Amino acid sequence: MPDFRHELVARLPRMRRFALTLCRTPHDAEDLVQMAVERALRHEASWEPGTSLDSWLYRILQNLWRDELRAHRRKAEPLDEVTELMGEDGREVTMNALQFAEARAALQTLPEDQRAVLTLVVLDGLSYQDAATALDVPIGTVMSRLSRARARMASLLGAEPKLRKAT
Amino acid sequence: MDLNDELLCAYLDGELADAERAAFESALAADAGAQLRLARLREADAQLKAAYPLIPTAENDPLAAAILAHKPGEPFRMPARAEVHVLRPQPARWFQRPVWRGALAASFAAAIVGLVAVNRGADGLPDAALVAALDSTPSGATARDGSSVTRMVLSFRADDGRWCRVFEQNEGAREGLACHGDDGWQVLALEAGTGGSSGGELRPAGSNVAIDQLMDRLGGSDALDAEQERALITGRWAAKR
Repeated sequence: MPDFRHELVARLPRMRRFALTLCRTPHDAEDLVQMAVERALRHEASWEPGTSLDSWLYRILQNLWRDELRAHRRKAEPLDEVTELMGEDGREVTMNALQFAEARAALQTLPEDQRAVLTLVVLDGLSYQDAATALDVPIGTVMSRLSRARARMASLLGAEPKLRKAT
Repeated sequence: MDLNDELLCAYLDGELADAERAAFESALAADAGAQLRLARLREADAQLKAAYPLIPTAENDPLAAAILAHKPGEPFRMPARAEVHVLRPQPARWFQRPVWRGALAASFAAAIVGLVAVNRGADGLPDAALVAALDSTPSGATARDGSSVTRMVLSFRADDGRWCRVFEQNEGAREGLACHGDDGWQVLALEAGTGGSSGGELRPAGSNVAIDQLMDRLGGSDALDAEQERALITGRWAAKR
């Protein structure tokens, strides 16, 4: 089944990004993606062609993370600490780097359930229904986790928004 | 209509049916507080998206190759961990282009480094200014010595027990990694940073791919905290664990 393999390869960027939000470090994320790939290939027959491969893969990633790897995860990347140490004189020049690091650090403070929903809906653009399927929860749960996650991100990032008129 | 966060989210995500959306927009027009809230949520979304871009898979990605080589029914042969290249995403730039790791990136970086005066000897030994910075400057601080500017990024202990430090030189034009062995500091990597003051924008420290890979290979601890570092600086990095 060459198609399945090509489909799987095509999903690697999204898998890697989802894994990164779950695992915090690139090292753990890549471990998780590899394990998920191994499981996906082993259970290829249980994926129904025509159903969402993305949802199936996200579920594998999340289940593997919960069941096997979470206990062994590393602490947060030193990147968070680096930005805190950046001195006053560097502030103006490094704003973009800081915003990047702050957004990542903010996401990592969220509980895993909220991180997963935020990633699928905001980063991957999944519909609420697809996200619910991928995470195996009711759609109402997606909505409540999502609104809490967004509220928290907004409060942590505290960015001044460009106010526009409602359209 | 109560414009609570769940409703605002549903609107943001295009999940409202036409009639609901029309009613929502009406209510929103009369509610400045909700408008501000919506704008804040949108802004947070934008920052999140910028912090987690989708990284295209490189042509020589070992995992992709392993997948394509896999035959049904056989056990999946994972690429050796040391070979796995994890690309750390870059912050959003005004020009978006994929960053390729592997041979192409390395040769590009080497070409850049060749153009820049490298303050290390041919055998990887750092010069006096860098040694001084490695010895005494805490992470997060900057050492200046004449025209040489070195910002210390973080320190960690490698799997083999050596203390290692990541640093940046000349406003991110170069990023490097040095480890303290029996004979003192040895520079293991010195790569072109993709920061630098040219765009007025610095990337997060340690975001050079080659440095990332080297840190992965060296393994070891998380970044040391300020107190641990102070103790090591006082002890001239000689303490073994």
